[in-house]
Formats: sequence, structure tokens, C-alpha cells
Amino acid sequence: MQGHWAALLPLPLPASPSPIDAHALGIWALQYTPRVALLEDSVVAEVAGSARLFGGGEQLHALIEAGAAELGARVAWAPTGTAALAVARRAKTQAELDGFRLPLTKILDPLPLDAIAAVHRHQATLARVGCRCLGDVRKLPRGGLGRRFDKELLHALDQAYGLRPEAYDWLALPEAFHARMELLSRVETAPALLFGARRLLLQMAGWLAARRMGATEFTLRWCHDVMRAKDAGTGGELTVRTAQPTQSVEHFARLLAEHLAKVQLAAPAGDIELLATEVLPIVEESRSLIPETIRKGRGTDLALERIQARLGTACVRRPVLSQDHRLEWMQSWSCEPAKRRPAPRYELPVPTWILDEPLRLVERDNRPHYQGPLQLLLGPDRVEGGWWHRSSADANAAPMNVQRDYWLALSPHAGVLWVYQQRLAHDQTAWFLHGHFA
Amino acid sequence: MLNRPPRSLPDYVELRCCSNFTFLRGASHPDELVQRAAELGYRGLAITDECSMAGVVRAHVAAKAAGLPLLLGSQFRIDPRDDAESSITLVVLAQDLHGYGNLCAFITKLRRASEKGTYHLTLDNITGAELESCVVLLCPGRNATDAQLAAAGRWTLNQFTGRCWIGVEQLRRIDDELWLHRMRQLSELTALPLVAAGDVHMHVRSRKPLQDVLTATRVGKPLTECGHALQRSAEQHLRTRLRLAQTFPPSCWRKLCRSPRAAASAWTNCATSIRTRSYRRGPPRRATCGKPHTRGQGAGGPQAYPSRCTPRSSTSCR
Amino acid sequence: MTRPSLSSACSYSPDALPRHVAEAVWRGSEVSDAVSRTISSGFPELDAQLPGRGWPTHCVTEILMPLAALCEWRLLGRSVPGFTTGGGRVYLIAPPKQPHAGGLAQLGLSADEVVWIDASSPADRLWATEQIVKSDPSGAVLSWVAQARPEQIRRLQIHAQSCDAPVFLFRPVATLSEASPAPLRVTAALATGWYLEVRIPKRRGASVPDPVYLAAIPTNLAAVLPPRLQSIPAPAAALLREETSDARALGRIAAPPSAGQPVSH
Repeated sequence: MQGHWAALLPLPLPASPSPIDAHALGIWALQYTPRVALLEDSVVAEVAGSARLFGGGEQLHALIEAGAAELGARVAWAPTGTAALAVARRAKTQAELDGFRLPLTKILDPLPLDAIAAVHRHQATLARVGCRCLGDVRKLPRGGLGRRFDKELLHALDQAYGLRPEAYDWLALPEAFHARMELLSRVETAPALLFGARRLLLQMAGWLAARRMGATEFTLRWCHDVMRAKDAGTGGELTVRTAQPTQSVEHFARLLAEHLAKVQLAAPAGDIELLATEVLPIVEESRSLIPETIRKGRGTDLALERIQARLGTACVRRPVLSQDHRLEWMQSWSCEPAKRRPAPRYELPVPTWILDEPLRLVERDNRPHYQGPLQLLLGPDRVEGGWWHRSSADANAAPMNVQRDYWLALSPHAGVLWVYQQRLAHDQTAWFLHGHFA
Repeated sequence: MLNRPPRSLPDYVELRCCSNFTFLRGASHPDELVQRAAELGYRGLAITDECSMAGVVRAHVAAKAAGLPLLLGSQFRIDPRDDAESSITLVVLAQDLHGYGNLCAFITKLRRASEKGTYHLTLDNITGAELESCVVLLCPGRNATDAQLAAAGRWTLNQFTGRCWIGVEQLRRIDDELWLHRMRQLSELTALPLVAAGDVHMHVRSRKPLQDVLTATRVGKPLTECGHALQRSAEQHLRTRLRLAQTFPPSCWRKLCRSPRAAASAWTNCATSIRTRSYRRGPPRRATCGKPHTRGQGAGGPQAYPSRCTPRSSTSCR
Repeated sequence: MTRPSLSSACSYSPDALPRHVAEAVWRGSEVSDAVSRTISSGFPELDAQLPGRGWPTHCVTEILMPLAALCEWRLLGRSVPGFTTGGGRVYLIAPPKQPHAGGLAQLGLSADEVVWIDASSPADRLWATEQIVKSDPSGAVLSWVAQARPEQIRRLQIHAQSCDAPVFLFRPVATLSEASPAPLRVTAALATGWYLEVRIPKRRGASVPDPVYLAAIPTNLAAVLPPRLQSIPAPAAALLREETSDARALGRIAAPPSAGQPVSH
């Protein structure tokens, strides 16, 4: 039975210093194929069925190799799983990792005996018989091998050479994502956690892709080193949220970077772990033959989240309109993404700019001034109401009652203004600027 | 009278005014309205509840006591049938006993044709013929287009030739000046004279909170959620004549008020005749307008109707 | 055989050339047609002067005004339908005052098409603008970057080249003297009545010598203005005349307005 197998051997590679756990590597590999198994602390995966989904064998190779390089594993390819693992263990150069460049027997024969674990166990005996490489073992008579050694040897050889089908217990995708990693050196500043966290993010992205879900919230936890000040605590954590479920490692990394920039570590941290705390099914965008139908809003939503991460959630605001006659109560601002709400219709004109607090204007010659004398164009527009509106729920909260005469005014230097006249105590009146029609 | 207004202020008759017999809209009793109008020196007052004549008895009693000429009438909201029409309000005032009877019959007909407490009126259910001896005020809604205004004006002119006016409200809104301009244009187009109206819902400005509560009850929401259903300001009250002189521009003040002044004196005679005749005889049998209101919600319950007026109380009315 | 006249030998019609050649050839007096799409400004007189007959995309446009919150929406309000076609949103970055969504709704921007990004420091404003521009939004980006150095504007211009939405930078008119990498610079100021005086100091093509006067009544006011206000009479000129005559009559100079009065900016 010949398939298309990849073997991923965890190794410390220059890109990622601390070695990855084979189980975690296997979970990551589950996004490419459901047929992933653990074999002798490595991962083997059969990807023949997935090649078409990922755009062809070449693309799939490239994806898996790139991901494995970031995570810290070496990838080898071969028609059978055991052979791929053998190649991964013993290949000396990059080119040798490809087990398809020659017929299988030619690839496996020159490999030394410790390439396959079942053979390696009997290395001493086989060496005395004169076998130095797998090719020699293959040439030995089968009956004798079966009687002399345990049947595992023959099975492994047959499986490696494709004469016997391989049956493994496929890895199951866990329901929740939780990964740990020990940092190679103690980290003092929070942004430096990002280097290690990136690998965990990659694993999480793989798990999300396998589950067809997107994360809307994830938590990064770090544990302080044992040698720490007494009051530093055991560690800390940071939760990052995003509005839409997403699988993108880049977006996670950017958001995490923004949040970490604001965090101070109480003590050097040595371990980090990542949990996906909230996941939601992701809606795949079906591809269209017409390229322009790719929706543009997605990138900007992510940009808004980055801005919120750096400047604070309250910095990105969306208006909520309500029906009220009083100008300052017609709108409020919320930081949540916009929901479709029925829009109230305002019959009379509303200015486009409003002052946070109405500004009292200077009066000269019975005329209000703002950047010059105001010419009152149109008015008055009486707005009264708000006696039912209490500022808080206390018993002595003040009612937000207004009684104003609004006027449209023109200032020589400040444009078209929306001002009002309000009666104060003792029959005095005051002019206030409330908005601009600009 | 409490405060005698100066002679130079123009005379005024309020022609569009609803009392609390227009349930959940008006906020003042008819007698409060009459007393206040008398205090302000109005030449007369018209009580025009919406599709109802329920407030007339109390108003009549108070008007007699105050010596104020009272005009009897009712206002109706006319719904548009299609895009060529807009929502308009028609104020119908009785000129004499015959008109009063016609109006009562009309109201009864409308109320009987709909569910309890509601009425439905479009331009094809109302004709000038069935409202003889009545004058009408056309009060269009402000969101009407020019074409819709012209259509309404022409209809009014056709149905009520010689006894119709255009009622103009100036409610201290920013579009008042433009509205007045449009009404002047409509008047020129249709040759209907303009008259000042107040669309009064309360007798003094301080009744506004009660009027807000009534509105909240009517729309069935808490006050904080009523939004634009509440009136924007408390301007729809019986204003002083000084204020009215300031609100309605001086250039058309005299023109606006000439007609009602003349009409008011004519109607004073009519009101007297209604008083003396109808309450002596009892109201005409057709005036069963008390019937749909037996639910008696709010102020002014069933006892306020002419149909219940016994001969003994009518003597005291006189 | 008649000699071909000089004028006919020199004249050519740009339409006669193939498009790629026409784009590469530029005569000094012509206003270049923009290669990217433009959005009409809603004012025909202004469209006639803008390259491509509208506000450009794929670059930044500087709008210089003497005061912030003076006439932004009077100038841009008529292009709002062009910004929001296809589900676009308008991003307001560090506006000078609080925007009122009710007023914007009357211009045609519904509440879910408005995003207000508030940033206090100039560096944050520029960074936020850059992030939005880089993400290639659909709609329009309006950013008030009062203190921005030319190299920061250049950075935005480079990012804007891949951005299909128009990017407007509002800056004070005092920066007119600085060189700016923005391909289009427009100044706007108040003129008499409802008019705005718009000048175009820099654009792709020949410079515009004369200002353009736009009758820019705020869109939501047009429905309530009575006829007498359709053109505003000259304001307060009568008042000024009164004051000077008063001063002469009383024989003293009128006190400067700021003496002892609380300043309300």
C-alpha cells in the first residue's frame, strides 16, 4: 500500500530553540489531514487525500515544511510512514528528506539499522550476521527472520517497504486548546514573551483550522521563575479579544504584541501557556470566480482592533442614535461593533458638530459674540423637556430639564453656528454655543 | 377680568383647541381653558376636541360665567389615500344650531363606522353638503409637499366654498418662517384666506409635564422611551396676546385676525342661540355622540354630555 | 498644394493616441486625468478644476482651513453618497469636536457607517491613520492631523497608493507654506453669505489662479430656510459703520474687544 506520508521529527532547529512536544506537533498537523499518528515520539501523517484541497502536492509540501520549520521539526516524505520516519532520522542533507526522488527500495537500502526502531533493537545480532544497512536485512531469508527474531521486525520492514499496510491509531482532535512551552531563557520584559508565544499561536491556529473554528478570545499565561521576589506572585495572564472569530496567526500576533507592550512583568518568566478561551464556528468565505467580490471590510476591522489594542478600547467609537428633542441626548457612543438598529428620523436640522459642554458666549450690545459678532439668521426654535430624565438613580438626583431657544447664527470667522439662549435666575438670559453646521 | 390687556394689542380668537375630552391628548379641562382665555382677553375661544363634542357643556358653563363667546366645533385627522395626499387636520366650527346638529351627526356617523374609541376619515367620506352651516379650517401637516398642499387646498375650496380658511400655526420651531411662507403661497394659489391658529392642548405652559404623561400613556411606553412622541416644547398653550403679536409677524397680523374677529361676533350670537334653544329643548335626537365614550377613561366622564342634561340642570345652565 | 498651417501641424488630439501613450505624454497646460477613480465633489465648479473631475483616490488630499470644524461637511457633504456606495464607512480620526451622528445622518451617513477614532497625541493620530489607510478600507478616511511633518505625510501618501478610498487630511492653513508631498492641496475659507472660497494651490497639472466660490448651504438646512435666507445679506456691515461713526462723534477710539472680557475661543 503506497500513500503519501510525511514524518515530522521534533528537533531543536535554529528558528525555534526549545523542542516541541510530539503530541502538540500532531495536533498541529491535524489541520492538514485527519490521518495523523504518533510513532516513536514523532508524528507521521498521511496526506494523499488532502493534496487537492490545499492546491496540489507542491503547495501542501511547502505549507507543512514552513509550519514545521517554525515549530521546530524536520519533515521527510516517503510512500510509507515508517520509511518517512527512517528518512527523517537519517537524512543528512535537505535533498535527502524527499523520499520520492528514487524508488523506495533505493532510498531505504542504504540507511543504517537504527533508522527503523524495530530493527534497531536487534542491531547487535544483525551486525554479527553481517548486516550493516537495511538492504542487507531485506536480503535475509524471510522465514529465518521470522523464526529468529520477533515478528515485529518483519512487520516493520514490510511496512517500510510498502508490502504491508500500516494501521495506526489516529490522533483525536482535543475539544479545547491548551499548550505549554518552556522558554529557553528567562524573559524579563513582556514583549520578549512574544517570541515564544508565536509558536503557541501557530499551534493554536492549526488546532482552529482543524476544528473549523475561529477564536474570539485567548489567554496567555506566564509563570514566574522560582527564584523571585516574595511578593511577585506565581505568574500572570493576559486575555486578548477580537470581534470576529478568526484563525489568522498574524492578527493574533499583532494584537498580542500591542497588549504585551503595555504589560510589566513582576518577575522574570520561564514558562508560558496559551488557552483558547472562546471559539466560535467560522464562516468560510466561498471563493468566487470574480476577484472583486472579495469583501474589503475584513482588513479594516482588524486594523480597528489593533488601534483599540494600542490606544484603548474606548478610542474606537460608533454612534447610537436615539429619539430625543434635546441635542445632547440624541446620540451616544459605544465601543461595540455596529449593530443594525432602526434609525430615528429627525425632522428639524441637527448640526454636524456638537460641543461636549455648551460654551457660554460673551454678550456685547445685546448680541452674542463668537469670533466676531453673531448674526442671528433664523429662530427661535424652542426645545423644552427632560424633566423626566434623572441624572442618576438616587433620590436627590437632579432632573435634566432644558428650556432653550435655539438660533441659527452666522459668525464672520467661525461659520454657521447653532446657539441657544437660556433663561437664568433673576430674569437674566445667557447665550450658549452648542454646535456647528460645518 | 384679572389683567386688562392694552388696547393696542390685536384681538384674537383661538380656533383650534382641544380639552381633556380628547383623551390622552389634551391636558386641561374645558373650564380651565375658558377661564384662561378670558383672563388673556381673547375675543372668543373654540373648543374643538378630536371627533367629539364632549367638552361643550362644561365649556359652555364656564364661558357663560366668564362672559366669553364660545365657539363649538371639532377637529378631524384626515388620512391620505395615496401619495398625492398628505395627512391633514380639518377643524370644523358650527355657525348655528343647524351646523351644530350636522356636526354632531357627522361625528356619530364616523364613530359608529369604526371601532370603539377610534375613527377613520379620508377625503372621500366627507363632503361640504353634510356639514352645512359650518366653517372649516384646513391645517395641513408640515411634512406635506407643495403638490400635496395644493391638492388639499383645492379640495377644501371645492367642498366648502366661501366658508373655509387655512389655519397657520407658529409654534416656535425653526421652520416656522418657511411654513408661513408656504402657507402664504398656498393661500395665493387657492384664494383661501389665512387665519392664525394655536393647536392648543393645554391652558398654561406648566401643564406640559401632565401632557407628557398623557402622551406616554397613549403610546404605551415609559417617559424615557417616548422620544419624539412627546411634544418638542410647551408652546401649544393659550398664549398671551403680546406673545402672539410677537410670534405672528406683524405684516400679516391684521390680515390674519380680521376674519375671526368678524366671525366671532357673528358666532357669539349663534352660541347664544344654541344655548337658549338646545338646552331648553334638549339636544336633537341625532346627537348621540355620548355613546362611544361610555368607557369614561380619564377626566370628564359620562356625565358631561348634553344628552344627559336634564331640564333642571339646563335651567341652571341658562 | 497649400502649405499646412502651423497651427494644424502642432495641434493634436490626445484622444487620438493609444491610451498608454496618452498617459505618458503630458502637456504643461492640461489638467491630467487621473488614472484612478475619482468621486465627484457635488459642486460642478469644483469638479471642473479637480484632476479627474472629482476627489482622487489612491493618494492623500490635503484640505487646509483657517479653523478646524469650520466647513468640512459643507465641502465634503455632497460627496457622501459617493463614499458610501457598496457598504463603505467614513472613518473620522481625531476630529476637532465631537461629531453629531444626527447631523451626519441628515447628510446621508447612517449610524453604522460612521466610526470615530479618538487619539490625543499627534503620533497616535498619525499611526491610527496609517493603520486604517494600510488596511485599504472601503468608504473614506478623514483625518485631522494638525501637527504632522512632511515626511510623515509622505509616509501616508505612500501607503495611500494602495488604498482605494479617498484620504482627506485636514490641516491648518498656516502649513500652506510648507512643502507637502500630497498631490492635491485645497484651501477652504468662508466667503460672504453661504459661499465658501476654495483655492487649489497644488494639483497635478496647471495651477489654478482664481478661487472658486461654492454656494455651500449645509445640506440639512436647505429644507428649513425661508426664501429671504437663500442668499444671506452682508452681515453686520451696518454695525461696523455705526461703531466707527460713534467713535468719531465721541472723540475717542473704541476699546479693543479683548480688554477685560472673558475670552471665549
